[in-house]
Amino acid sequence: MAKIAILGGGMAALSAAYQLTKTPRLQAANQVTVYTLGWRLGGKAASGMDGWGRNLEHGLHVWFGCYENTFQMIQEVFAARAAPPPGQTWAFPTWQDAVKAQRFTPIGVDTDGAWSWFPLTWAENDATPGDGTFLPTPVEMIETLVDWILLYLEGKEGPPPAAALAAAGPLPTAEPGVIATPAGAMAHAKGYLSAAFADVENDAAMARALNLIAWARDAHLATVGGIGSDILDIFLAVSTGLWLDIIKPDKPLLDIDGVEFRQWLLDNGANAGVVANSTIVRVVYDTLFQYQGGDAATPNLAAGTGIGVVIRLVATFKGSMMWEVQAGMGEVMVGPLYQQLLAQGVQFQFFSKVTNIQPATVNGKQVVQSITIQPQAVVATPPYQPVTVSGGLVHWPSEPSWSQLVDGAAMQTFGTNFESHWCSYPNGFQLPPTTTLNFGQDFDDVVLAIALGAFKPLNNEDISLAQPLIEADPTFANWVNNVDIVPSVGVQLWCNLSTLDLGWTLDKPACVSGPEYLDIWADMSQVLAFEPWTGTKPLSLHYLTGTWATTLYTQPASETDTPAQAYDAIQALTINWLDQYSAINWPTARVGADFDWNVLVSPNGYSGQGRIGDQWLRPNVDPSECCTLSGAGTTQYRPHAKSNFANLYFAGEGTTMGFTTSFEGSVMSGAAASQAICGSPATIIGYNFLDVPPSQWSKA
Amino acid sequence: MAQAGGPTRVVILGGGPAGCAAAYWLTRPEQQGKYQVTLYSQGWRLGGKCASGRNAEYGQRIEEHGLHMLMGCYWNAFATLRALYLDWRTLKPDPKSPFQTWINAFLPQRLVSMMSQDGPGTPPSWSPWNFPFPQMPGEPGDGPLLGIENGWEPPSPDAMILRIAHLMDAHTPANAPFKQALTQATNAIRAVFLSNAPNTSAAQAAIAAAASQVHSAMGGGPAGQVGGQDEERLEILIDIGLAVSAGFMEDIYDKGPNAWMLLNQQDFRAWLANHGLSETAQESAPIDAFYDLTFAANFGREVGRGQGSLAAGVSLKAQMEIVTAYANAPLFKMAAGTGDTIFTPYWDVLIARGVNIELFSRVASITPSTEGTEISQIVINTQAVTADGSPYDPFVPVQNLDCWPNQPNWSQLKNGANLQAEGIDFESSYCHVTAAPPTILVAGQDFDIAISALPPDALAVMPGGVAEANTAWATALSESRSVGTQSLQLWMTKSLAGLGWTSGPTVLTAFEEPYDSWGDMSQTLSQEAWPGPAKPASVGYLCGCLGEALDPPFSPKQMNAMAAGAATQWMKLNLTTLWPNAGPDPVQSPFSRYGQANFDISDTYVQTPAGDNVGSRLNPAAPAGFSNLYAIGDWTLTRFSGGCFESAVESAMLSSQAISSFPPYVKSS
Repeated sequence: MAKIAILGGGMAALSAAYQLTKTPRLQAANQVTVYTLGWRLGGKAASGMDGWGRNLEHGLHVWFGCYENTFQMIQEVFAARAAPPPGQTWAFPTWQDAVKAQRFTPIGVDTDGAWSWFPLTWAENDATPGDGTFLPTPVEMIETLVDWILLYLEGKEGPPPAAALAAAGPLPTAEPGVIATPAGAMAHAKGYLSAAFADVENDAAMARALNLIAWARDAHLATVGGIGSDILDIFLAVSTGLWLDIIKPDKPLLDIDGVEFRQWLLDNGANAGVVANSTIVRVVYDTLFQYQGGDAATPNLAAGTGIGVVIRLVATFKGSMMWEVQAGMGEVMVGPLYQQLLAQGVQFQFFSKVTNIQPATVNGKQVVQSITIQPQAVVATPPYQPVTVSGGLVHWPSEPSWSQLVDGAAMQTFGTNFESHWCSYPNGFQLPPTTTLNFGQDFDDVVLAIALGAFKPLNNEDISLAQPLIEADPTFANWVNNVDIVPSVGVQLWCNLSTLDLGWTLDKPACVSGPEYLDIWADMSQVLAFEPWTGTKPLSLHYLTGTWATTLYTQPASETDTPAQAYDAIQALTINWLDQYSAINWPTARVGADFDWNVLVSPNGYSGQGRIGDQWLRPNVDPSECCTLSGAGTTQYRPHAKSNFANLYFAGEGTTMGFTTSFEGSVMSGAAASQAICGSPATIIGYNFLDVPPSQWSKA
Repeated sequence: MAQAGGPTRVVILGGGPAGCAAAYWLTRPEQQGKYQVTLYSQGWRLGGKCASGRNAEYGQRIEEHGLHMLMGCYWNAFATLRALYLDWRTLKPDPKSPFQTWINAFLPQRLVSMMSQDGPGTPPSWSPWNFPFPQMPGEPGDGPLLGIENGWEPPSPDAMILRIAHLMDAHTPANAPFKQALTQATNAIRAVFLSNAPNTSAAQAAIAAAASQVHSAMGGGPAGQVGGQDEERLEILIDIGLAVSAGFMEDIYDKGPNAWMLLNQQDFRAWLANHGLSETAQESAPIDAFYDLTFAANFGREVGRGQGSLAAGVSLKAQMEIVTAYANAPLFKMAAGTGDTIFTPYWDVLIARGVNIELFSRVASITPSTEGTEISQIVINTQAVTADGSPYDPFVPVQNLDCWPNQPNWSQLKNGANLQAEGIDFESSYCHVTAAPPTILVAGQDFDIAISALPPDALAVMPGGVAEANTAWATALSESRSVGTQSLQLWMTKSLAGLGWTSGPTVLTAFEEPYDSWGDMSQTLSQEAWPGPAKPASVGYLCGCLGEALDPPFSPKQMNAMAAGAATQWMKLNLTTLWPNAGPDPVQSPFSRYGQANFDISDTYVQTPAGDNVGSRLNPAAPAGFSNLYAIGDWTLTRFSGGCFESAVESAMLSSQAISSFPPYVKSS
């Protein structure tokens, strides 16, 4: 039986543990222990319930309909779930109750400083995410992209043929049956695109397609303008670039990852103004958090990864483009998964902070020889019980269950935060002695599933837990030095008026690319049904999120007031944002030109701006909770699951797995680590999407 | 009450939405087997007015009594159906079934349409008026019965009025002549509900001022003028919203719990008029729509009473909940036949729990004791028995779903071939066939509690003398009104867009009588089994009040023939108005059609007219006139007291709660 130590408790770690023990045969072969810091699992997807019964998150987690592996896992977990405790009913009896389609994703449009939402509703398809079918072919993908554009164009008032012809000149090719409108030209271009993508020798078809798209753009720009013209302009560049760089030479998307996505669009003829200013481009960066240093002024996204994610999101989703969890991520996903992992025999060591990973050469091979673990607290009566089941939900608390810890009361009073890089203890508190795990004795294989930020050197003071690996392996050093991380914020506002009463009369939305810095807003009022509020229940709940330009994440561990600094900073930013920009979301919640603070609930009875103190503002500046950046030229440094150390495997958002910048990527990378160790699962859908040429996409 | 140590014996009379829900809640595991339930239903299927049947001759098409929708404010119905689906899939897992969860079977419908006679031309032509209702948070039924302890509470009436005010303000553009006054009214309403010291008179004055400005704007443009239509429609909606707000402030707010009941004496439309609704708005499509929705255009079994009658109190409450208090979507459509989506799970679950479901069992009489204090005897006629005495299997499988056929599975029945040849319809009150001596149920001996889940028109002619022995029954039955309806289903070779309806799948009402309502039900096609080339491209269900008097009815054959004739005539005159590309002669064009006249005593629709109707209803939450009898069904007293699935289920839950203290939570008034 192989002993496998999984370091880290985020989605990559849990996915690896799940795959390593999924069947009785695997359970007999693999003995898995998960070592995580703090009191809970989930990493960036962890959530917790606080004393008021509120669900507190790192931010907004939507699931895209192309999250094939995530959906597969949750479906399996829900199907295998045991009965709830006596007297309770699972609040989410099936996975369909826990995760629901969200088809309405307005995108923000900035017209000379005046903000509005462009209402975008996605059509659903009949497929079920997680059904195990492979990706579409390049022909199907490009056809789907054109279909979306056609759906948009046909849903709007377009120019009549005479006006289009007068504006853009005659059609580029004398094709019979083409209706001389932007939509008509695009419908015709679709056929040529399909022909060219199906037969890469058919340059003539591609030329015709591109000419038709260009004509459609020109005609649209001269008659209608606005977002539709931007879409056509970008699509023309994407089609050109995909054809020249990827489809025609049959090269993988990875080949263009050295170029920044916007530059690649410009290189392929996109309009500079559109690339710089249009929502159509910005929405990609906003959705994926791809801003260097969290700064909206410095977008940075590798072109191949970027276009790959766009294609996956738009052209490969099943059911709905987007899905929403109905309660906390911890309650919907991590809790049920944790229970399933227990049933599969996985062991968990909470409060276990990895401080050193030591390699050695054994029999001529580099291996991880030992792992040092600093226990963060002593559990009075092991094992630590991290969850409670009530109201049919598996709850994680937002703070440790202090009563289970030795000196818990003192640490609670002091405000010790075990998840924090800047974790500090009451004066005179003695940390328990470190423990060492040894190769061959305590573990055979190691999965490093800790977030990249936690072992990336960020300052001159902290010593990375992976310092010996950095020194021993240039490949590893290149990875941690070249892949950057992105700080962000998560804000949750509980209101005493419904969203409708706040002035939003459209569908329950999940918006993106609104005014910075909280450029993402989703109405998550459905979660209220699962928040056991003790006092007066709020009537709506709003999650806002976005990247945050700050360098606080680089502060050394000794600067223990960093979290407080971060909180104060985002509180000021949030107050300012609500006063200045929130009318776009909640037009009724105004007092004159300012935000009406009275719409926020305040169990503490605060008044005015002070009510922000009863909301949840989370600065995600901890290196382990920052997102990873897929910047131009950096994909080459990201490793797959296998390392240069014989018994070390990587998992996490920082690796490469065909779908970086996502929750799904973490799940895929965990499965990849399991696959590298034991050969299971046999396939991870989409894993090779960036690595293989388009002729093989449908098997990637 | 029960035999010593044994379970309480409950007989449920009637297998429609109320009867099945009562059986469901009385036999939940929480009841620990305290109730031994027998359910009697006439004919070969469960469902009552919601029963549907598959027609094997035509691609196993679904044949319904009419167009059924569940509303997003049906809290009790959804709590029950969602719990039922959980039990169904636990007790009878079936990975191949298209319905793994309730989510698969009940599909959100957010577009609602009306036809309005305000289009171009003289007289004004019909013109569609679309209402894309927004998706709202949560799901209907979220709540403690589903293990969701903190589930959605529907908003209070005050909160609903506030929502209406906010909706009016949000949808009124800044350049509307009455914008300022409307915003002031909105703020005044807001001040009433959100402040500690409400100033209702200020709000009433602001509402009146806004209404007067809206009324002056309404005279603005000539009717039917292009460009004016949007403004006129907005003015009508604002006018209605203001009249509702004014009436609420005057008659309901702060007036105590009895205020709603007092309002029921008045007709809804008249009440709105009393609170300032303009004549234009009184005759507008949105008001007509609500009367159409509740089949209120006719009056009871008579025909042609003009604008009809609706009790204002319950109508106001229902209207407010429908528009502002739904979760997810205002409407949910069934993904297959109503019988297949609702009553198949009931059958499977109730049978698995040991409920004795006696099909082909028609209640012949309900007889009070000589003292008139309890029911002493119930007689059940046995309409048919199986040939070999084994249990009757009611289903026909279609697309991996157990469905109800549109006629009995004759081969299982004793003498089945002959009965089929004779064209016997066990659901018809004209059918008196029996196959065995009647079952006589004696109180204390065969049952401890009887629950009547029979419809009022059937009870009114039921022998036994319940009404004679008890004045509450007598009043309830004499005040009860039911109306005949007629349905029409059209399977078409053209898609919805191909028919010329370009706004997408909708549910439409306020159109030309008698088929004033239409719902696109194309989602059901994948659950039918049409042979490849014959597969229709779309299917629409239409319905409305029956255009024939019911007193006395003609024979079933004649009634159906008259409805079919009316349908043909109506299609000739009106179908191309609805669907411009339906074809020059729709009757000859490629439709497959099914129609039905719902005139029989168990098929008529329960109305809620103004006057003493609501106040005279029997209370399902207590014994009804007799110590061992409960009355449930949509004709009893519930929060909507209306002919709807929600009222039927609510009454059943209330009766179960009264009998057993379970379920612990019912959404009621």
